[in-house]
Amino acid sequence: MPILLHGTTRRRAERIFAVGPDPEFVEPGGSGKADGFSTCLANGPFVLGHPVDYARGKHMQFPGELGPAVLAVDVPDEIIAAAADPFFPLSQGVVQFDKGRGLEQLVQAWHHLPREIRSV
Amino acid sequence: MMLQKIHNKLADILADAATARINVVQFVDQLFELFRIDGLCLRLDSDYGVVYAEHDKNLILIQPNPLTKSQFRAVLARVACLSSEVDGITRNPYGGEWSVATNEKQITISMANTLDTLFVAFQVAGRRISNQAIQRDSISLAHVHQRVSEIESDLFAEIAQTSSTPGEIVPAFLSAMAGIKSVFEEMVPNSAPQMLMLAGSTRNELPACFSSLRGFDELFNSAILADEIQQHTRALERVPFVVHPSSQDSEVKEWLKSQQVGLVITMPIWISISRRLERAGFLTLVLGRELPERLHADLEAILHRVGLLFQFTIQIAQVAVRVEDPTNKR
Repeated sequence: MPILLHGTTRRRAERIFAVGPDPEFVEPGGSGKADGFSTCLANGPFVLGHPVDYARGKHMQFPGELGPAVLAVDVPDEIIAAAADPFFPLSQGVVQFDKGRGLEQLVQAWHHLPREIRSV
Repeated sequence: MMLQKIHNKLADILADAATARINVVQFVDQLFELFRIDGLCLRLDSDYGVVYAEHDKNLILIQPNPLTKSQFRAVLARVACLSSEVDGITRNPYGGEWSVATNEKQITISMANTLDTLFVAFQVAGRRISNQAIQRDSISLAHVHQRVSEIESDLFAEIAQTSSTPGEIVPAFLSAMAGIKSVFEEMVPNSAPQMLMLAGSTRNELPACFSSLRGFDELFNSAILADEIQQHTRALERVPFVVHPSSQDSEVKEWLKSQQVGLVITMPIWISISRRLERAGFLTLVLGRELPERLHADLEAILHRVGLLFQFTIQIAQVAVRVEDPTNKR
């Protein structure tokens, strides 16, 4: 199973770790819901940026959220396949979970998936 | 001719993205190719559901924006990633304000207020927007807000003294808009100030207003601000037209319903200074229960003349203003 990475703050990583991706999540001061869950293949490529850099950026935006962190999760191929989208090809390392595109399957399977929070 | 060319090319790229013929990397690459047109500034606006480009003081609008929120965020991330590759500075695509000149051709990519507005702009051969410049613009904008308020107050006063036909309101309205424009010209003389008019009260409410008349209540919610409309009650009582800044308030909504107003047209004013979009205020027209037969013709005249006034295509004005007739909903 491929390992997917999600760069964020530690506080958010802990929440996602515990309950799974929350499409209803709204950033403090933000205006829109997360809607989806953005990840990338651990082995890259990282055409949209490296998750570590992204985590650091989030930490700079939200310094009170316990620092940067990367959430790593082992996701079955069939769930990743459900997220497949020509705009986000796996060949570019991007795995974007949206409603109707793998997000529901990911959330449903979340508690059974091997996962960890990596410090940055 | 150039406008049509830009429009067609932009529409093709967006259509390719919407129909999954290209991926995010190809999409951004194709956008960059488009930006090699001198003086072009393009904005992809996820929250507002629009894509528009400015060239030679003309505005091209493509609506709706076919990109999903995830696609749009990926575009932001890709642009941030490319920019970081250019100068080695890591950027967060969803926060802060920054810009970068990507190469000797001076393709400038700026992402302003991305946390709030999910806004990205590209321009070619334009001046680089430094943080200092942005700060200066912000200071100017505070004055702009004040001046716009003053002009609106003058407009209220003028409307209150006129009679009630739409044709008599139009000159006052246009005069106010011209005054607003002159404010920007005075304050930021070298920035080619432009004004956009989009429907809705706050940024969050814009999508609802853009998506083909979701309903009168929704429009009301986005249209009226209690203290400001109270302040101008006299004008409301005397004429079927008022123009006022707007926001939302349930009491005012009820009050307006009790007045059985006929139409509400909300026109928030968005300004673009130094390629940065800011809200300057709102103009909302509340029309009385007795609707003139030639109302729509007058509205079209307003839109057309305002469009000409600010050198925008009529297209932007047509999509920018939503008109609802509450009598049809009851």
